[in-house]
Amino acid sequence: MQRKRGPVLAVIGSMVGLLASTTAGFSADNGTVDAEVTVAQAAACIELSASSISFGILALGAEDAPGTPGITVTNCGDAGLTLFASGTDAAGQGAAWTLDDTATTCVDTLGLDAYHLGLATPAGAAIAALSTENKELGALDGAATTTQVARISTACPGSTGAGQSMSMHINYLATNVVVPPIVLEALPATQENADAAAAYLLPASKDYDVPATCSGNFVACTGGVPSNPLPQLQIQATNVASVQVPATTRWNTSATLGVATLQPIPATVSGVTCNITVNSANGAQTTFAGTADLNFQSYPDPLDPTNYVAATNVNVTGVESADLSLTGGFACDFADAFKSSFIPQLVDQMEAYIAGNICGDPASTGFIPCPILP
Amino acid sequence: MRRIAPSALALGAVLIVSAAPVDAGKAVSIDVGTISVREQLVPGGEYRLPTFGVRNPGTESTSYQITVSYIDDQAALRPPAAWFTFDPATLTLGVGESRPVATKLTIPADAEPGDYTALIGPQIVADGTGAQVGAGAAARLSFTVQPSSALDAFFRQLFRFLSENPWVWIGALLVLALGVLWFLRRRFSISVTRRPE
Repeated sequence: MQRKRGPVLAVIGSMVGLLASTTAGFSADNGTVDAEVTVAQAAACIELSASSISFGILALGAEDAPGTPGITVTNCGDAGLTLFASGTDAAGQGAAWTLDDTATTCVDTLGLDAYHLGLATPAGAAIAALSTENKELGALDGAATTTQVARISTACPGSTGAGQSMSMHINYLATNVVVPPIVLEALPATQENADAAAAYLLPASKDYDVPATCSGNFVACTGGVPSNPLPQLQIQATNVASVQVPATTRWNTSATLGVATLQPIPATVSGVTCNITVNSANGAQTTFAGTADLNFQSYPDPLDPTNYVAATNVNVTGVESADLSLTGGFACDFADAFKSSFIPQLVDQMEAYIAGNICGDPASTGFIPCPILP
Repeated sequence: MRRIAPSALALGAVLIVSAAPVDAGKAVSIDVGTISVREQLVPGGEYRLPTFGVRNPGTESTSYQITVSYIDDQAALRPPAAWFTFDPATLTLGVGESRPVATKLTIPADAEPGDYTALIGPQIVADGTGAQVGAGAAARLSFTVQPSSALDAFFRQLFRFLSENPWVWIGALLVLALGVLWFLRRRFSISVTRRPE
């Protein structure tokens, strides 16, 4: 009897352990856990012009008979759709046909109690032979429509269903267009890559278009019409240096900027239109100063190895009123207020040139602007 | 219903008409495009997926059924509809109305490990006979089931059962306590007597 005590205690102990572990696993919602998911919020919206169609009276063995009316499918959303369609087996009183999406006919191997259901263009060109699973019909742009005609080949002579009304379904299904995942080149957070990224963002010389602003203070937008071609600004960067912030994947980058317009920039402030010429050499300090943070980051999972550089906190300083000169008329000669209102716009624009995300170029060892990272 | 000519019946004709082919004002919309489960799911596990919204963008009140379907010739495994629980599973929405749908995914203990994909979303409920045309909108769901031992799956299902039925483990606890009492009484004798003076 004494020998049985060990197993009995073991069973009791394991039951206690089981219950203890079970109670530890209880959650507020009956043991269901939230799955870690990535969700793409995008609406898929579809509308049909008809909820039922008629094929009329057909003989067994009828081939490719069209239904009426045609079915107009409308994408009632703004985003593009991928359109699918499926069918069902047909059923009648004491009759059942299996949906077959092969090209067989009654002449060869279709056999009894099987039928074809398809979709075609109004002109009769086949789009898809339907099966009980979703077949892709193609894409449908936002707010676009497509009209299709259902076509049926009834079951072969000798099948069930003669004299019966057969029922079946055609189901259209819409999903959002699948966007291919963005795959970025690996970009380790090294001094070499930081220097290369800084050199890409602040090259020795680069010409930038001055974007048209056609509201508020008009810039490169004469009479409400954007300049064509746009005037350009040349930025020459020297003394580009990047210093890593210790224990981070961030580098502080600085540069000396020489800036000059390649063409005068037309601008209108308070009804006065002048042409602005920028030249950093005209000020008390002959250059501007630029600083930025270069952050090595990872997309889509921030915890994965870094694969792009985000240039943030860009600051351009040292722009003086003397760096700007105005031409265009008597009022422009005395428009110092004009200059002071334009300088912030100029600074913002230069900072925008430098800021942004840059990625490794798959085709070379250089950099390219990143695609939009959702 | 149209009257069928007797001669047509004699020739073995088939009638495939709808009672009244009509223009439809029915439409359907879903507000989620894709649901990609990042973690590997465990056989025997039960998971709550993100809620998606169903909207009636049509011009008449419409009933919807939440369905699970697949793409023809898809390479990934097909999770059976029985793995899904939708709340609500059917719904009727007035014009312009929308409603959230909660989704629960239950992976059976004997689920085949691998990558699964399915289309989940609302389908307009067909309410006629003849050749019916329906519409649906769906989100693409993808997830991976990781291999698991049968023992692990058993315990996961057991834990879920116990958590959903707390009276079972409370009862088991009582039985266990009684068993321990019985065991102690059988193995040890305790007598309380007055100390002799």
